Amino acid sequence: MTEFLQLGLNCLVLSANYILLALGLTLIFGILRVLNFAHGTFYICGAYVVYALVQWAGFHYFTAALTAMIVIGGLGIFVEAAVLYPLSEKVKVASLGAILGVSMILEGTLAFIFKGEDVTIGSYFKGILTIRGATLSRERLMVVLLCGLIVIGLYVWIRRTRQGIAIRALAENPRVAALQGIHIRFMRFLVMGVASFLAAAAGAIVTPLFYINPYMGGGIIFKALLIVAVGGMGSIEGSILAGLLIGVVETIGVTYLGPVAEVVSFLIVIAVFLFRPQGLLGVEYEFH
Amino acid sequence: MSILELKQVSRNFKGLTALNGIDLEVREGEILGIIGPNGAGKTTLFNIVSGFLKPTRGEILFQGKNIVGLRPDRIARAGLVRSFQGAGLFPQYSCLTNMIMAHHLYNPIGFWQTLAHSKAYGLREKEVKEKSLSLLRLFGLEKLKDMAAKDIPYGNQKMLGLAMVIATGARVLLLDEPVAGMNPSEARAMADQIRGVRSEMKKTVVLVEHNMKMVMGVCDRIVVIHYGVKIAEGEPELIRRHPKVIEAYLGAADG
Amino acid sequence: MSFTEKKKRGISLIILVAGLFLLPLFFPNPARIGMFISCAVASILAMGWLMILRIGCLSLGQAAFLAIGGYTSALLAQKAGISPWIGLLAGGAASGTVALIIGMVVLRVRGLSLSIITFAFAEVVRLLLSTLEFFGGHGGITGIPSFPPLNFPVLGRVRCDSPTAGYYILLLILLVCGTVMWRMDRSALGRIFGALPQNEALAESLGVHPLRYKMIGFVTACFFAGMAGAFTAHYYNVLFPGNYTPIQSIMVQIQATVGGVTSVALGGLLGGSLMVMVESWLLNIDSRWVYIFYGSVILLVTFFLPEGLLSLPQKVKKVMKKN
Repeated sequence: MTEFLQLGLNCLVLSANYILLALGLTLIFGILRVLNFAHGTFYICGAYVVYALVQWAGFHYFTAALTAMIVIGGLGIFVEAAVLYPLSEKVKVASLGAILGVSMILEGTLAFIFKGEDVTIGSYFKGILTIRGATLSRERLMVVLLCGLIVIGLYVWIRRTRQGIAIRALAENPRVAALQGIHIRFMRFLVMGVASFLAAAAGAIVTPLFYINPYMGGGIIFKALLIVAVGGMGSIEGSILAGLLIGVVETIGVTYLGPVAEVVSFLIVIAVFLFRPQGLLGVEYEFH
Repeated sequence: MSILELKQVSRNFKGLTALNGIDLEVREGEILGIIGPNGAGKTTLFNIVSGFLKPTRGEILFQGKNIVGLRPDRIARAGLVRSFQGAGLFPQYSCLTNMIMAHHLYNPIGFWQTLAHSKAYGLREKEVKEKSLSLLRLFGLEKLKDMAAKDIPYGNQKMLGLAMVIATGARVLLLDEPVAGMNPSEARAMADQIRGVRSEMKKTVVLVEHNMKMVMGVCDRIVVIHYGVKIAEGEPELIRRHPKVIEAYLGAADG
Repeated sequence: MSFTEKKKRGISLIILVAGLFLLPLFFPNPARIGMFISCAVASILAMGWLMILRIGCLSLGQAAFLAIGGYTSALLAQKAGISPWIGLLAGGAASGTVALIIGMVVLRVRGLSLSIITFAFAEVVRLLLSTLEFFGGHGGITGIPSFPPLNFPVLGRVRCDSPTAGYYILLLILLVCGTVMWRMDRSALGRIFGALPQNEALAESLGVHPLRYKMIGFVTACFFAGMAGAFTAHYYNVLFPGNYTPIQSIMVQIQATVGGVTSVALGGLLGGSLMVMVESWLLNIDSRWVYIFYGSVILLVTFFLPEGLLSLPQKVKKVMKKN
């Protein structure tokens, strides 16, 4: 039971992290029809902003986190306006190259400012909780709680509010949505902003737990991609489901199989894109 | 002499029956028209005959041999080539290059010869280019030879599509809506070309069309398909008066 | 093309090749020659990337083929005592064979899915190389034998492990690669390659077997990448799996795109050389500039010169015609 609780918590922490990222990716893909390879970098940027504000400016953790989310949200909107929108009519190759470029510039800049060593801000919620003999860190519990709240909030927003419905309409059929009067440019801004906000949230929530370095963005984006692929491009529910699944698989896999587990995740991605590109629940899309 | 024979060809799509037991015979040297209301399964038929789709049931005999399950390029090499609805060209390539591409079947490229740029390669390139130019001239397209295919007028695009299937040297041509979107004079010109192709080049033509006037005027025989089933077959005059055909088209717009 | 234009082309080519041969004479500094070698490796990879682009695929995994070639040759030399000269061919063959096998499955897919699969495949290769003991694990392989000396009739015994010798060996590979790519690109074969992304169904109905032709381009590109990898193994005498990360593959893409998509051979050569030269210069100043450099360049190119530097003369001509 002890082991189960601890393992379970670790699974949830990993899943929560992935889900927040995957949600952003899937939202962006649904509306902008672009795979935002810079998403992982936004995540790291968010984490670094929190770090900088806490370590250098003495901000309180929550304030820093909130600021980071807003700043990165703004960064996302900026990238959309300056880079993605102008290229939206051109060949997909162009957006891909450009987004990789953005990612590299951000990583280089981070390396300049933070000098490339691994850093962390340390646990905010210190202490542990003991349930049935299992030692559960308060920090990790808070991470899961916060992520859960954000995911629920997002879910409600997408399902209930007007913007949320507009987003789903736009994802399913852009032309008809436009005819219905949905303002596409505004929606794009909104989605990029929210998605980047989420990425930064994930980064902010996670910094107390792990060490970060400027080049982590690449690895993380891949995991998020895996989840989006398996869950279905453009599907919120799919991302949540797949995120939970992958979190569990990875935690168990790494505990019992070691580094080979990573190879398995990549093989899963290959299989998904070979046989069922729309994933479990995704929207139909011409992958061209 | 039937050069192409369809026996009980059927095709289901997840519960929807697109084609149901189609029997068809195409005689060598004839122009056969396939008509029917929209969604009747005509393009599915073409896709199946040319190898892009597999039938759920049935046989297709081309020159006596069953071609079901063969890849499209294999079927093309055997002498059965199709044109495509709408975009049937390589849009970024010039008209001349499009025509040169169409000669691939007629005179395929040798890999090692290409690499070595051998004399045989050079000769082949020259021959194919000349043949392409003369075909373009025949179809009245030589002025557009260097223009990108996507930039030429629609009517010319369709003409180029026809010229390309001719260039392959195939004996049987499947034309998918050859006059779709054309005005009456363009359609007439196309019809004349098709007739010419049959008589002068001795090709067999099967075409799918909605333009009744053109179909009645050009085809030797017509087959009518409705809801995936053949409901009539015969010469244009017969089809025009056929009660089942009239019933099927009742309310449908005339071409 | 008229005869005088052909002559001009021929002469420019001869000057180019001669220049490449004489480079070490003008720049004998070993560090410089080392940079030229990096340029050549990048050029070979970039050419391969462009060839794969021609058939309609955006590969994000070229680094993997570099690795396969390198490791094959290194292991053959270390464990089976195979001569590095044979290793070059073996490395190429290994990469080519792997490309053949995965190509059969993967080249049936299109667009974004294909790119992601190449990315995933490259990571699988890297992870296998860095975790399995057979491949040396994280530390990679060290102590790989260099190219053994050759006996020439007039020059006698010539050492082949110096930077200059290495340059000439690689130059030969580069020239063969360039010639093959050029021939494939600017020919009836290239015409077919280019037709596939435009309208594959039409090509099929004209008698072209799409998979077969895609494979030809893909396998050739990976073969040369493998050969280049084998070369690096015996030249640098070490192999680290950390050298084959996704960023490396992305850099290949950026180099190739900057060079120019209009010509596979020239674009690869230009892009690879130019970017690596600037990269080397930046590494001397501060390695952190490299990421910013690559990122900025691809953004600039995407917005202002999407077809690469090779398309510049045409664009300039157009602008001048307007005025």
